[in-house]
Amino acid sequence: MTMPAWLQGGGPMYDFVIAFCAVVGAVFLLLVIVIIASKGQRQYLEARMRRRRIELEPGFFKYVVGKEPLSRYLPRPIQRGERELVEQILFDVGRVVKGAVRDRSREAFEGLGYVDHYLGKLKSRRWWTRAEAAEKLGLMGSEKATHALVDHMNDPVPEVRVRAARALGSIRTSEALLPLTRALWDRGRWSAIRVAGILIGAGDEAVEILLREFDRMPLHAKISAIDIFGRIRSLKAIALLRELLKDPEADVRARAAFALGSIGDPTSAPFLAGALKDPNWAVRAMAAKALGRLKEEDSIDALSASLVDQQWWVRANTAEALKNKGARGMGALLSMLDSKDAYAAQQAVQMLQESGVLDEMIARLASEDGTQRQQALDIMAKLVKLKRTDLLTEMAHTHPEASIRQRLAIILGLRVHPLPSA
Amino acid sequence: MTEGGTQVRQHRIVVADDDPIVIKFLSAVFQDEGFEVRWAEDGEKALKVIAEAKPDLVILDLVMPYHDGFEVCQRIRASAETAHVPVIILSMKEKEADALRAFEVGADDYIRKPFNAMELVARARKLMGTPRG
Repeated sequence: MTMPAWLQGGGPMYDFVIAFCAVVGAVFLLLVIVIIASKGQRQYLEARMRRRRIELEPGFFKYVVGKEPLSRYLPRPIQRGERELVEQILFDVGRVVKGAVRDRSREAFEGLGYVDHYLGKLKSRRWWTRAEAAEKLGLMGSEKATHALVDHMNDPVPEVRVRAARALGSIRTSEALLPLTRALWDRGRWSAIRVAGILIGAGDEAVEILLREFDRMPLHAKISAIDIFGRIRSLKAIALLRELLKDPEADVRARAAFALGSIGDPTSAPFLAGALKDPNWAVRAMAAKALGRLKEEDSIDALSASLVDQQWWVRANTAEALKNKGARGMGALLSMLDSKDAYAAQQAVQMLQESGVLDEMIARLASEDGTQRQQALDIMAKLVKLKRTDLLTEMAHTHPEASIRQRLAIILGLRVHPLPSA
Repeated sequence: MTEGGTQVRQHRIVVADDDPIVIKFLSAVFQDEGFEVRWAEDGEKALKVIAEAKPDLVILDLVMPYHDGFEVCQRIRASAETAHVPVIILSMKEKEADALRAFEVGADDYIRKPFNAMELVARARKLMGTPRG
């Protein structure tokens, strides 16, 4: 094979190709060197940070559970390049612990100048820098940042506003939480769900502010506040919620009933039982649902009376509540099989089936105890009368015990197969 | 450590958690309180460390690779050598059902994360019968 003439030594084209290849090769080599060097440098820096973390971390851990100043626990002063490392260590601790330890970590953030640093960044012209600063100030939990964060609840960028609100929720002082409760009023600017989520995260501190502000709130904010009381399950809100069962607004009464159920204090039962007679059916339905969540049995009679409520939703919630009340509630449901109200009776069947009581009754058909067998037979007869034979028919074909299959077949009037001889 | 001329073993705690921060933090806190700390970052290793270390207390996370905290606790209770060892569950799970299940499988205490470190130390001391001072 012969090379083309222009590739044979000496010509200008040859010189150009050689020079071109040399330049490309040099650039490529340089790139490889830069990539390797930067990777090496990154690995070196990471290893150095790991070593420094191992060196400093125990000191910070001891500081946050101790009482002395930070310098007493650290093996050496913090150096200039360790700002991010120290911040990360303190954030990591804040993620897993609460209480006095978090206060100590907040003090460290303040003492080491982190709070001032991010307060400065909160003034940045770049919105993402402001958003990051707001978030970090929230994680630090410093009260010193409250005013600046309250100001940023009016930031022109929604993301910054939301992060400032979340940060205030983390600070949890009344000064920080008050603007958040006010945000519940401003439907045009703030999503009630988002603000409620932040206040729920703040816990009992938020409840105190909401209780104080409640009377002054517009209706839509009151409704959000009631939902927050229920979600936080705050015992402090129980007295107000019981009062609200008499509020002129039906929506307020219904939500107060639901919140009382979520809180789960059994002493609310008489108040909720009273709400089962509310003129508004939504309030009655919520009261029944709430009673189903309370661990008590005193409301069974009131609930049994509500099984014949005119509204199906009330009856459905009532039946479910009775199902949750154990043996006595079940007894009330069984007695509803005789109800003149067809819907209430059907609802009772549904609940008995879902709770496994009917399975137990079917099993009792083979019981050696005559009383138990008779009770089961009576209930089967009621189910046939109510035309709710779906489960019985299925069991007549599939029940593992032949004697039960045969008894069910007789009850249902199906063709009876003789029992195999013993 | 000696007491009245007799060799007294330092109280030993096993911390099993897949979060390295929890392990490092609790190790520092309990070592500072005078306890010896062993650790494991998954359920399988936890069982191995517990069998070897014969600890006076186990602090268990619920969500861990290989065996979860419930299973580890159950196995601790099933083994004659470790059945008596107090177990504190330290978990992010907030549901009442998880706490109840933890007690059902034999846990002695249930603490939710984020936790109060000094409260955890106090509970651990009470379970080990080693009051402060």
